[in-house]
Amino acid sequence: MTKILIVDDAEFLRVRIIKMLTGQGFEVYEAENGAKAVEKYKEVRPDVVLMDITMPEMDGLAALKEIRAFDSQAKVVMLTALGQESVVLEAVKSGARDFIVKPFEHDRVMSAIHKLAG
Amino acid sequence: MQMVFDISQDELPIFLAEVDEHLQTLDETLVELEHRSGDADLLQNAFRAAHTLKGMSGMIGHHRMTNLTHALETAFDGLRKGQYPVTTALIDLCLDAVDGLRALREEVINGSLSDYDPQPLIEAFADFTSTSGHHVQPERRVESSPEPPLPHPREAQSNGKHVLYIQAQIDPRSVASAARAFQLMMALQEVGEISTMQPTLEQIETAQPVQTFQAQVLTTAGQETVLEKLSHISEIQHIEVRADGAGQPVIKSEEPAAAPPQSNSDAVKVEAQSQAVLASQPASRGRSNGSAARGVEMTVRTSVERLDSLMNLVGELITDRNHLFQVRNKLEAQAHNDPLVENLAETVAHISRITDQLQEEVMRIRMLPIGNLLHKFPRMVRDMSQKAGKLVDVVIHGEDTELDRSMIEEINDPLIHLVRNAIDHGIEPPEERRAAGKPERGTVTLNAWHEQGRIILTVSDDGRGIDPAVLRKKVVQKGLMSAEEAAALSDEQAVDLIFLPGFSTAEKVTDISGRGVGMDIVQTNIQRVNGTIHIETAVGRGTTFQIVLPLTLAIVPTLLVRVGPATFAIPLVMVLETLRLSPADIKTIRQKPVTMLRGSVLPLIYLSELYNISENGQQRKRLFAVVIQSGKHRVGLVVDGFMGEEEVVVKSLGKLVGEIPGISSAAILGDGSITLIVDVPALLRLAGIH
Repeated sequence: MTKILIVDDAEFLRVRIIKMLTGQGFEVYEAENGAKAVEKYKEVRPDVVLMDITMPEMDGLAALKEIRAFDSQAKVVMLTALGQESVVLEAVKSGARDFIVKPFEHDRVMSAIHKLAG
Repeated sequence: MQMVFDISQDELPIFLAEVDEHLQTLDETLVELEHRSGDADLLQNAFRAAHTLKGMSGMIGHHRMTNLTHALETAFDGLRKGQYPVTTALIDLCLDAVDGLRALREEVINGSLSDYDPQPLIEAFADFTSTSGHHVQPERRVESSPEPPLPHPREAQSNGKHVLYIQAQIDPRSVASAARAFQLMMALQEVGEISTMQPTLEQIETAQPVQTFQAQVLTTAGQETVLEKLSHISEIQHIEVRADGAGQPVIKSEEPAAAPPQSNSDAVKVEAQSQAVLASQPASRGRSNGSAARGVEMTVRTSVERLDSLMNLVGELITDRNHLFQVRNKLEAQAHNDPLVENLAETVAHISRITDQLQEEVMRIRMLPIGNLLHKFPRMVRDMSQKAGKLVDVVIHGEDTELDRSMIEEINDPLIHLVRNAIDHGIEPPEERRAAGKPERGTVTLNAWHEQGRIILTVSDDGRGIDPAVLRKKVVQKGLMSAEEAAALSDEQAVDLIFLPGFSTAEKVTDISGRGVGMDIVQTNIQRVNGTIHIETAVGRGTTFQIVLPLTLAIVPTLLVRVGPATFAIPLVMVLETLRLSPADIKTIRQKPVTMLRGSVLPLIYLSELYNISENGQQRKRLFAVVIQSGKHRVGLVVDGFMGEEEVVVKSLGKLVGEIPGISSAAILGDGSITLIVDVPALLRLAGIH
């Protein structure tokens, strides 16, 4: 079963995505900040990571770099918002495989996952 | 007008709680920022909170909320980048936005639009950022001509390499089209060597929007391979991969959502991949989402009612445990050395320990850190002191101290009132403070800590203090006391006059504290939850209100006393000590019974007289008294005997019995008998003390 790790400090967003993805038959894991995401990544080795950029403790960019250092094949999709163009560019340079803008649509999330995990 | 946000009933509480949390963070950090404007961490926190709120409101389609949070976020971003300094005007604007967001949050609760219009604020933000030296760079698109005027490569198609021309249209809705261009570039670098590229890497690095991406690649890979590689990148509407020269086959791909695919006989269509994969996803996978497989964090949300009923059941268990104790004691007295009885005693001891642990666990579930309550004070104090024309700082200690959630609700209003009082009556205006040789800024300190199974909460100010002489004068003016009575009061008693119903020390009713709620209500509210409040004050130096609260409302540790055939339970929090009295110890002052306790007069109240309980032995040789304290009043309750301490489970008296003066509730004791729990402050009023 495809494993997805969703990383966002907003519980509401995690709940939303978990609901969406478990409904599609994915095995979903969650983390509330970058540091926990890195930990969780090492533990469950998810197929795809959906990661917020702006988070406390460790932000998405730092977590992306740590995850990529641990696993150069890691497939990380950044969750972003308007006005973060340069951070997104930086994330892509650091190995983010895709990015989705919030508020995201169901189809956009599914297509991002399928492109990477399919 | 009904309005439905994109949110389900089960998501609603999470959404609301989270929004609340972030608004609280904004309140706190904004007030902090005013004092520590250079603090990057604070700014980052504020930015993050606004940013998260923006994302959340976007998710449910609350556009006005998204727009307002966006304005707030932009303001923080400017501050972060040092484009303008922190000013009171800006903080005011931001705090207004937080209030506005609260109003918009209400709309989500009600599911309908309110009158609140965030537009004027959003414009005010725009005005602010534009007049404060922050200039948004005009959007500059990196455009390229539709047909690539790309030069022909010098290198021929040697060693199996050939040139491919790539043109990709990036979805103009992409938030970071430059990043997409970068992804295209990286994908191409994996299959070959890029000889020219439009936009250039330098242009991509500026993160300016890119619509058309063109490149020329020297590669050994086929057109399909390159196209396949590129089609993994999202938000690319149209890709063309052409071999060198006209008339060569063109390979292209369209995003499924984009314009209808062009029918080109030469084109190899790449299947809309996402759809294909979606279709191949077996539906059966959805069924195997057992809770163990879902790595969702192991927390459960439950209702407060359920916790209340759990607490109630634990209460019943405690009653039964107490009963078991009594049975054991009787059995042990009758037949000690009986192995069966010993066995039972051990089991009872074990059950007792488990019950204690269970009670503790349940209580812990119900506990909330008092920080939830205290954190709103910095903002409140800022608003209040601005209105009162005073300069006040807030210091908060012990926000991690936990207490029962119902208690938190009960002490909310009293705390607000005390803080209001501190600002309105305690802290002096700046010029008065300066004249008194004090720093211009006053301080209100809120402190909370645990102490021997109780919670202590203090509200202190470094203001002018309470002058007993002024209060004595006032109480006479108001006709609440005669001049002689007032003069006879000790300083402590005089200060306690502020708890007198109808007594207010304010010269005039102010907008802040003059809301018709007096200190007597504060005291009553606190006593209702078995708490006490008292004052320490020094003229010119400040005042401290100390509130002592029990950990929970549901189970009260009490001292059981016997009066004739009846049993009363006195909350231990009120009990100072117990005394044994002989008839000779009891004196009469002004027709009231008193006794001397370590040199001071202790008024006595006979519970038997108050409740007309007939006594069998009239002239008893031995009497007992429970010394109780309520506020500054210390009184001895005369009883026939003590029956020990017991934790009792509070049961309301119910409609059938109704209110009994001086009694708050009832409890069932271990032996199945019923006891009445004494409401000490009400009892004192009943006895005419106050």
